[in-house]
Amino acid sequence: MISATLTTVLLAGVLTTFLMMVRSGANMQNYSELEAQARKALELFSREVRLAYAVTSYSTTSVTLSIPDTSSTRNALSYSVTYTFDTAGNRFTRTGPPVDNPAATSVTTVLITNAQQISGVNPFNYYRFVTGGGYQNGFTSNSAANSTEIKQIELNFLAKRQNTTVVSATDKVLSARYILRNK
Amino acid sequence: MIAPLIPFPASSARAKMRGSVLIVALILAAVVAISLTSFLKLALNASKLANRSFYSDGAQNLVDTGLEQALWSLNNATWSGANFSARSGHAGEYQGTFPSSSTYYNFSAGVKGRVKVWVDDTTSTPHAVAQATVTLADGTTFTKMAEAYMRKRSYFSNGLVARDTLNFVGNVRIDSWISNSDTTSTADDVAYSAGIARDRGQVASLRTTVDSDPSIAIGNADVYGYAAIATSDITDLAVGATGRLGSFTAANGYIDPTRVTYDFTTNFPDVPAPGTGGLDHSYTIAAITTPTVLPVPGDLPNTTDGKYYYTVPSIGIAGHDTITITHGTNVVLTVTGNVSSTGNSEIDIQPSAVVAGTPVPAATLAMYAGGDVSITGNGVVNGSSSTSNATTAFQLYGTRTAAQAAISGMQSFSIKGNGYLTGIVYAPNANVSVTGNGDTYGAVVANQVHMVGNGNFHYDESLANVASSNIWAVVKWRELSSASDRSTYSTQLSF
Repeated sequence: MISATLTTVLLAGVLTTFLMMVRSGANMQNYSELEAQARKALELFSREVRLAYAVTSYSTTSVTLSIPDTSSTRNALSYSVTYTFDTAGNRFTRTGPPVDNPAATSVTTVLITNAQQISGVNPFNYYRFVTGGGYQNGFTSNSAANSTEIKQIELNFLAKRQNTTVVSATDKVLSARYILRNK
Repeated sequence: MIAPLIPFPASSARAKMRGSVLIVALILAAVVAISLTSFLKLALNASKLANRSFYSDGAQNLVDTGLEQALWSLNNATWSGANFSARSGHAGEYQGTFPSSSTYYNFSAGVKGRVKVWVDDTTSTPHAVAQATVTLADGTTFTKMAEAYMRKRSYFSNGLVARDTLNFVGNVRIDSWISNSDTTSTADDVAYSAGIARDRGQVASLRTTVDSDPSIAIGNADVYGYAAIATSDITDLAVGATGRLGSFTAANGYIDPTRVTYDFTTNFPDVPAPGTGGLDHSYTIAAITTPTVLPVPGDLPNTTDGKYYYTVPSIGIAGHDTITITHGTNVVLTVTGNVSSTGNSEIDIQPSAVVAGTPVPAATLAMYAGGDVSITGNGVVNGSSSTSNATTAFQLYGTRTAAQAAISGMQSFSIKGNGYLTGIVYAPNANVSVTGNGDTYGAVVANQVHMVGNGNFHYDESLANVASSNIWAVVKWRELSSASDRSTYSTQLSF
């Protein structure tokens, strides 16, 4: 009787530990997937922002960039690419030809799923070029006033994953301000 | 009597039970072990991913370091000074490994990096490709590559630029066109006409004072293009009732807010007169006060660039005096004192011609003035009476430095055309007044700019690509991320 009780307690402990481990593993897998997706998305986004020579349209949820070709000319258009934060569909997408095949047909690729807007923060923010790290004379913000002024772009959103019985995993993606090096 | 043995079946059942428990325990242990291993593996992979991502940014910085080395070498006119060496068998190409081929940039935790750079300096836009390799503590490596094209900066990437104020008097039109004056060939040059005009004229002021005076007073001019100011105050841009700033469809009195930028910033580097130390032929002549032909017959050009260099204390012509720059020649004229042209006098830069059956290109004149300039007679004739030479054929530079101007004040430039005025003016420490009884073509950069008269101003967008300064800058940067992009330079970087 005693041994049976002890065995039950022991098995219950082992089972609990096992279940906790499985839950933690699932949660960690969610985090790992979030991290990988976010890194890949940011890598792609930052690469094309740095390369862009013009912003043809922009809003708080979308930006369209002009990407130069391989010649020595800065503003010879190779292709246009649009990054969109879809607030309704909770997705961050890229619409454009594949990076390694600019001549191919433009397609929309979902870079992040289950993405949400951070409360009170626009997904896309745009800034002007300012030297010295301060504000331009007379301004208290470096936000760009129009597309001509845009020299830096910042991306913010909240990516989320949730499984049954597992607490939701969230990853707040706050990018650096990427500089449009060719603009 | 021997006691009966425990029946075999009963003993077997207990053994089976014990065996079942053992098997269940083993299976459970195996599942826990697999879960634990997966858990640890996942954690390890996440850690590796984070590590690679972190050092990927480090590799990006290394690539930029390599490109900066190439830019430094261009700006300092030395390749060996930055530890570049000539690429064997390829004239004008250089290669270097940084910090060196035997050392590394050390990151934390045993991570180290190195960057190789190859530069092709055989064109006017040198091309550099950098390949950074980062080696992690476990021996794995990854690379980043990027290329950059570099070019000497132009003073004229905007049409009309003032350090202080810029104003227009008159109902003039400001627009732009692309003349192709930045190309070596003159065969592709395009003269301005209304049909090819673009609404990309540019006016800019670096004045940061916020007061009742506008930095850019457009008045009743029609600026078809863009404006750049250095304050947050839109009233710094003053437009009259019949003036406008915007596209060709902009309405009277309207400023298109999408065409105004508030973050204008630029340097106004002093421009020295060209030195004569490295020239094999240069001449110092007396003050010009009578009709003069340059080059003086019999004088020789500097061998390396084919230009005729003259230094003169002053110019003072009047009446019908003419300074003629002979077609087929490029003259660099340094005037240490003042320049004055009054009455019906003029500076005549001859257009292209056919001499004895041979085509001769137009003349060019680059004038470096240390004093005041007043060319108000018949002005500068850059071409024929009806057809203009290229905008780059007449270049006027003010050589007073900012330090000198702080003591003796700004230079004063007053320039006039005859029928039209074509040229470029860079005088950061001068107040420039351009008077046109016809249209003006080119670009002007000065402390203050006053555009007077009813002549229109047409900015030549090609001037943004003219290497007018000696300051090198990156004109295009591109990360090489695809396999095909990278393989293009595998030979050049195989050292």
